[in-house]
Amino acid sequence: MGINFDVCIQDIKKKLILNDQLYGFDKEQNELLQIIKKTTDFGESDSAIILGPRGCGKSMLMDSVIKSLSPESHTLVLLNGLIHTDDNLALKSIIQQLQMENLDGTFAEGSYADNISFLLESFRAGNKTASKSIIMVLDQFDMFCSHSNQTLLYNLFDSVQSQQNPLCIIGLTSRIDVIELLEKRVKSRFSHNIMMLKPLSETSQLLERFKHYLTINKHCKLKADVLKNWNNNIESLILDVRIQNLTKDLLKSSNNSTKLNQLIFMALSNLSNDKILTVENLTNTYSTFFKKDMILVNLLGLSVLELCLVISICHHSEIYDQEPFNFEMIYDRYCKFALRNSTLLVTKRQVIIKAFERISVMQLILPVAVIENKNVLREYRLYKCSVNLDKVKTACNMYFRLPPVILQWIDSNII
Amino acid sequence: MMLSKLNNASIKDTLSSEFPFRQVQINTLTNLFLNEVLPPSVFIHGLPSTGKTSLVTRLLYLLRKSTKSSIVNSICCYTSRLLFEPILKDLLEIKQSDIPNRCDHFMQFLNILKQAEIQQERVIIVLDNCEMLGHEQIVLFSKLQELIKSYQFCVIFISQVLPAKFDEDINCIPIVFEQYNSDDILDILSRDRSTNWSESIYQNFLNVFMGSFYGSCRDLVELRHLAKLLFIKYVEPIEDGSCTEINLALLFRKISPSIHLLLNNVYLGTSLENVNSLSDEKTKFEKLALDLPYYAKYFLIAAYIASFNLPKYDRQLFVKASNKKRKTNRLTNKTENSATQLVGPKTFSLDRLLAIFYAIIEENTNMTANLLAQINTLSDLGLLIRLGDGKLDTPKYRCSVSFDCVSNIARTVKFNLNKYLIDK
Repeated sequence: MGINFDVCIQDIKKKLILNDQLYGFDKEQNELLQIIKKTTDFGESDSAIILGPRGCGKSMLMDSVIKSLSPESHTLVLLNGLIHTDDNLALKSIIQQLQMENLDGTFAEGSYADNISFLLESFRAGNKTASKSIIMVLDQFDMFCSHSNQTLLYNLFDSVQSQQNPLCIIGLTSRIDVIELLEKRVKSRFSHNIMMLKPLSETSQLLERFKHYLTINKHCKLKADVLKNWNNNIESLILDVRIQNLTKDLLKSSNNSTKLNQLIFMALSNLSNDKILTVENLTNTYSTFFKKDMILVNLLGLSVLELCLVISICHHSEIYDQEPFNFEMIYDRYCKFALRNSTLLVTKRQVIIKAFERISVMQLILPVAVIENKNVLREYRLYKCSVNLDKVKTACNMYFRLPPVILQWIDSNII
Repeated sequence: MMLSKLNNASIKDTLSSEFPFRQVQINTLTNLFLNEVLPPSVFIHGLPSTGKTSLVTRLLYLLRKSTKSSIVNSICCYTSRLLFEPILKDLLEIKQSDIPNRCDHFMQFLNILKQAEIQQERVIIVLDNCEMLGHEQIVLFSKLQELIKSYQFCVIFISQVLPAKFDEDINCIPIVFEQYNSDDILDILSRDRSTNWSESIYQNFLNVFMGSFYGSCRDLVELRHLAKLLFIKYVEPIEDGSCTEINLALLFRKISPSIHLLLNNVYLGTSLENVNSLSDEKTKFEKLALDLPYYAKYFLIAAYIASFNLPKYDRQLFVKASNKKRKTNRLTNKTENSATQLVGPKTFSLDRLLAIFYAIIEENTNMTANLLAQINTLSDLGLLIRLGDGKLDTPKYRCSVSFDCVSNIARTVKFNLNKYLIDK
């Protein structure tokens, strides 16, 4: 054949990772552009929050708006609540991104009070017409609300209100109650511009994205016949019923496209260079990566002794209505069973403790108190169970060569 | 940079020969990483000793020419600085002392990476045992590719914990390392055969070995260790000529005490010297019965009684006049209290400990400072746990030794412990 799709595959993968194409949200895009334009063109400060569930395209919307502006018209400051975990770090980052340390090298290293007074003074020094406007994007806005006294947010919103240097603050968050998180004095300074983004809800939308990701656009450096071949194949894939069912399934488990991205990425990785993407590729990848029951795999990998302990734990939780348990209780229950069935090797207590510890390392059981209390002995530490009996039953039925007494035991339930 | 096809195939072959029964995982990993574009993050999950870390380490070693990598075990990283600086050291190929500033926060970490123009290179960061990291750090690392803006950047998480335990927004590609089944383990163990012994002997040994150990342990590392220990014992009769290779029944009879012994010490880090000493019942007994002074032994017994009996039974047990009534009461109370063993030792006051001590010790002893110092010694040794600061109250204690240990101690002083336990 000689057709090599390697370039196609790499190209699509890059596209998947960059993920910079905005879908829908035209209205929102316009609205946001208006707000920012007001700042950049007329020097009117403003603030807004973009609200939407994870992965629905908040950052993408922001990026697309900023890309449409000319770079000279503004200075961009990007903050992320996960990275800038306290006000001091955030301030330093603001100063760095505004390149204000050029003015006076000492400040970025200085104390918090120095930094904030420096920043506020700089804001005050600017005015509506002459100064360059600043666009500040606060990703994970809700995390900034947990900083002490919300000092940074207060000062930023305050300088927005007092019309100094043109400043536009955009917060991105997935928390619907974000306004309630703001303190009263901060809330009153916020413009209450809230933009809600809806996640995709129709299979057709997801299919459209699917198509978009996989089609290769014209100005790619490829031979025309390869390109045509590939794109035609994608067209036919989308019409396939199995793919439509697959997207329906995907949409049930999550309403954003990240899962789809991963799926396509994996399917393409598993593809060899001279083959074209088929329905089987996608469905196989889907079933290996998203359909697998990990708990079951875990349970099937336990040794017989560990599985017996898990059964004891489940029985205990069943009888005592999910009450926490300690090692002694489980040991007692296990011993009762083991002694009645002499076929099963009665193991020493020290080995069973180790097996119990292994189960807790795998987090099949979780300690009730997160921090270990030194005054409580290991054997009496309380745990809660995180697997249920039905799952263990299924695992037991699938387990390779499990002694039949154990199967009887798990069904006999209450001892 | 493009990797040559020939090279890729050879890497795949090396891995397949070194890691048997991991074909699916090797295929997935090589498909992902022998490519120009790397995925943002990969989550490798599997039970202990299924080859997660060793396979990834080996793969990165084979890729070392084209890819920079850093492997960090998160258990060591109890502060974020200890996490970031080793990674920087590996990626920037500098000494720890050369890192320009202290790197305490993710912000600084990111800045240094960006300044070093890491976008130009292929980088893979491996975080082993990632369940030990904070939730926020895991989220950040899983988004690192997006933050660095390079499609040649990947973070691999390795954990024994199910990926479902982590948050939804960590979008990693999951790869499961399944447990080896019994045939796989048999095959892998048979590769360990030393050349001195024929294959049939080793195979016979493995059949015996797997039959007895597979039920309580499926951990490959532990099984390999045990097999090595046991095989030395297994071939001893053949070496000294007391048994032929074909006499399987006799060989089994000779090895079964050792099997029994080791079976009681799975996961306990047994070595060959221990195997010999463990068989000695007497030393084991002495080890458990702790070499304590006479009074301290009685204090420990008293503490155990005080921990596991409710105070309301003290009268019945220790007031000598009411001895006759005790038997009947014990029977009626039995069901009510059977849980006390299970919920653990109760706390008791110093007064109660002393009262019980005087009740159980036969001779007359004066309450001296020496005697009280014994209690402090016991709590320093960790045999008693002292609760509270003991400033306003009299201190409270709790016994922290097991029944086996206390009953051994009681045997050394010829004291009948069971008589005084309501529960036993």
